[in-house]
Amino acid sequence: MAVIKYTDTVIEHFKNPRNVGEIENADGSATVGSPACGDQVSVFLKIEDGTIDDIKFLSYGCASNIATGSIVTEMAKGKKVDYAKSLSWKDAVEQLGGLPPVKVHCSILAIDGLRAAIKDYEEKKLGIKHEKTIDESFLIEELKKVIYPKTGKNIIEEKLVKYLKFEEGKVEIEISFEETDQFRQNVMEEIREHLEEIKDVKEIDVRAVEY
Amino acid sequence: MTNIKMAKTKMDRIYLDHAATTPILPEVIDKMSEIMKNSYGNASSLHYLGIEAREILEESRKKIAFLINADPEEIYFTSGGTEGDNIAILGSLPNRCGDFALTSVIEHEAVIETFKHLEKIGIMVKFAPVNDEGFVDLDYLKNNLHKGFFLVSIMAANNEIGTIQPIREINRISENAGAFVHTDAVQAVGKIPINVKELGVNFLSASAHKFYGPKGVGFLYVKKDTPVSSIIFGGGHERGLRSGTENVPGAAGMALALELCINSMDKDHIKYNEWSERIISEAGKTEEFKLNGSRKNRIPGTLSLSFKNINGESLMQILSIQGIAVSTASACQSHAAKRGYSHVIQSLGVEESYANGTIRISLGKDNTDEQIDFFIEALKKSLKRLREFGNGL
Repeated sequence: MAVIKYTDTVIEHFKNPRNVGEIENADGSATVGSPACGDQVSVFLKIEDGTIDDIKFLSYGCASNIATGSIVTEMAKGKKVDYAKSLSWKDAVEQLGGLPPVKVHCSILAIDGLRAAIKDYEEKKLGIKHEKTIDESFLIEELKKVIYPKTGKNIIEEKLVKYLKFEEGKVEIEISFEETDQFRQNVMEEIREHLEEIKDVKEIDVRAVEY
Repeated sequence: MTNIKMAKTKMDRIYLDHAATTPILPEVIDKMSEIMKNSYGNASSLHYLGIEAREILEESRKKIAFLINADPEEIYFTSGGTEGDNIAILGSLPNRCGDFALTSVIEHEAVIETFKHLEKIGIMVKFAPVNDEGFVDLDYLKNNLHKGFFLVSIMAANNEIGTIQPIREINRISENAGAFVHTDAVQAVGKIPINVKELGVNFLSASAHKFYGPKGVGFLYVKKDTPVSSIIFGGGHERGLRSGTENVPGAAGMALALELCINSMDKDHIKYNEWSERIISEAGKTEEFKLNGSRKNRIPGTLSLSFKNINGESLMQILSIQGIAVSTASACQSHAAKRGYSHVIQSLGVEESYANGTIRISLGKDNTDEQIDFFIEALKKSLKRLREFGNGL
């Protein structure tokens, strides 16, 4: 069983989260995650002259989900949009004094929420089109968002992805897993969930292989 | 915003997780300390200290046997529930009359994982489904059990939802098919009356720390003439079934704890039922939730509540920082963990919007009226607070 022990900073942000709420007529907003999984974050932005004047979030999630939402909004508030875009989940984890490995994925969700809200702002207010060509290197970047809960590192860093192919809308992935690995099912579902959100991906074939 | 007051001292602790473990009763601590100080002999030694220890051990065995209507030679001391379950299941293998075994989908991991191991070594394993109250489907048992089933293992009461299974009935059906019956009674012994002669089962396992005794000790009841082989080999202790130096203070502490629990059982039940009703009716005034398990046949004081559109893990954490200890059946470990909540809650078919918001409250001897009032207020405030954060969007 995974032991979940939070730092005092996490508990403090869970107890008194900063920037909770909604912004009416937000310049950019996004909701990521899904309540079915027990995790969801919404981020709202007010932007003036390229600076994040105000930022708020709502969370339907666990304690670390709320704490990461709080810290990420703190880190972005009053900062330039470009700076906010450069924030990574590792920065958020560091600011919180660490997260248990099984909870690292929460910080990714919070950063994802922030980036998606900025993207929404750029599309709505600046008319910037975000159309990326989907190729294998793009997919690898997406797969970096999937965390192996046992270690708290992403599956690319963990070298769990042994094979990746993208052709005519079909993604084929082989993941190295021992049959007894308790996170096997979770990780495979999460990979599928991340890839399903990509527009050009029509078919996903994720296989667990023992190496 | 709703104000949440953090617990600061030990006085603020409200323990509502007695199905996980219980605080040892002071009388039990005293008894064990005295034995540890004075009767430290090895119960297998032949000198006077060994004899003294042996006498304490056998007295404890007699007491436990009396309390569950068994014979002393049917009681074997173990290290706890998991070991008892493993001995009953794996110890039945060498003498088996066939290659089939059955259990249910809501068993504790100590049974489920042992059955998965059986599967790996070639046993045909069936997992009986349960209905929405957590009762094992008896028709499934009647239709699926046949000659060749060597063991049926069904828990006496469930650890998460408290549903009490009709073990007598299950035993009758299984016996007719020629199978031996084991019941994991870890959540039942010390909480409801247990009479092994009435139940009729071949094996029953229990753990002391669930009924105000020490951790690391339990017992396995094995009905007379039931064949069982050892899975732990060594000096031949416990008549060869469980080798290893006897835990004399543990056994004595367990026997006393069980006696005290049974003596105050009726009184405790009245308290637990009243508190349970109060929690349910008070929470019902402001909250949308479901009570999981059976309303009637449940362990008094074990409440599994699923709150709509609430993250159960957050609720557990926010109560924890206020000094209130409950447990959650829905710890999310990855954000695609669709099975973020437990196998028990899943088996009942609880809707996802409720299942994610499941906590278990289990009441105990150390709780007071004031604590329950405080808890109800804290629960309401905490739910309100979580909704301010965005739970229930």
